[in-house]
Amino acid sequence: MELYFDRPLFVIRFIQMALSLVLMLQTFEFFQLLSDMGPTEKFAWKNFRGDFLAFPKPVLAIFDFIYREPVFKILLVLRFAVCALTLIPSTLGLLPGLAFAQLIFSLIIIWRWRGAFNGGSDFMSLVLLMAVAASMLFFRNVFVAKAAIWYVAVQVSLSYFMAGAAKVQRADWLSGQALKGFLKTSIYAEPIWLRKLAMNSLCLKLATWGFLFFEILFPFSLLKPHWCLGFLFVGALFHLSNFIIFGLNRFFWIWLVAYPAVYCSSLLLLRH
Amino acid sequence: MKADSTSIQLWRGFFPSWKFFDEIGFVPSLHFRVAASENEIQLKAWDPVIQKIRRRWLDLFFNPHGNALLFTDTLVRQFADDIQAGDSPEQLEHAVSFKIIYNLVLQEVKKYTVIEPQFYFQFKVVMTPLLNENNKASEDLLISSIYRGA
Repeated sequence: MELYFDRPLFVIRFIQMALSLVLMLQTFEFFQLLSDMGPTEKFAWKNFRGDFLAFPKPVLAIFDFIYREPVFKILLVLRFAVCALTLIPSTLGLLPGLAFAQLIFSLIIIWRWRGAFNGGSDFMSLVLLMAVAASMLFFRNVFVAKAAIWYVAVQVSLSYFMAGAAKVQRADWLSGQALKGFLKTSIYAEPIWLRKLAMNSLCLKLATWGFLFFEILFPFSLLKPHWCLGFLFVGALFHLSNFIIFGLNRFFWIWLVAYPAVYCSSLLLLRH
Repeated sequence: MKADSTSIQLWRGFFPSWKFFDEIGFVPSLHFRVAASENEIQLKAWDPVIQKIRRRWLDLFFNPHGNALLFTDTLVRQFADDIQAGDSPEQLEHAVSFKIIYNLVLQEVKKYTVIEPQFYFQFKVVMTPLLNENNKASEDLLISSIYRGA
């Protein structure tokens, strides 16, 4: 596996293809969402356009056009098509343009929802899209590909470290009580096993300390490739549990897409 | 007006903060009530806008409903932030977050009033302590005026 994942150009292409698949899944979700809502929908554009009033009128008119429902759906189809094209080997020559189109379409789609539809998962999508687009614009330039991979690896490490550092300063987190509180905020109804877990203060404390250690120590994953694989495995389980408890399916997939960059960085560091 | 400076939010994707679940305090939730007449509404119970759903493994791949609920929750949090920013009620009614929440509630209310040609509704934002220490009680952050829908 190291034979391929220490090659920055391969890793960038791998990330682009995986990212395309995830964005295609997200596009299906948006389509279902828009079909459920109907014309007088819950999240009507007319209520969101106030966020755009700071833009000059001609620009606002463009947004008004783009975000009208039939046009917005066309935009989703276009992003889907662009993502699908990146999966076809014969489009290699078009990859820089396709990567740039993926970034622009995704940015426009994210803006529709006050800057983010799904918080952190949209932010990580943008990190990956920018890294892939920058790398593809300088096609076959290994130095730029390396820089893009390091950018993703640092952002992934920061995403865990910052989250852990913010929590570790709070006594309520260290006692496990904060986790108990957040479990109640889930969109899902609490199953019996989760209710039992929330009643057991030892389980809460162990679970909390377990993922706080993981989050704080994650940057060390870059130091050795086999440590890295261990951290990434635990990370995948961590995101899977976040999906099971909080319904964060988009976080699971997008962080998984970013992981090859972390592994590649650890291999590059070893070689250095 | 702070509530109108939300266009800055559009750019937040470029500066991710990566802080998740760090705010331990009060959690906002949105509730509504609906009635056929203005007098009747005071007697009605409040219902939550976000109803908890059952988890399915398929949601790992395809979760439009769950993600819509998560987005609704984000909108409610943004609205609670705007209320706490201290805008006057008149200013608040012109804020983007107010219009979004008003429309959200209106769409929710319509589900309950398929038969009624005319109805009245009201909504409120409740702040519930995340931790149940010292038996802190939930507080109403805002109770809206009564609106007529048709």
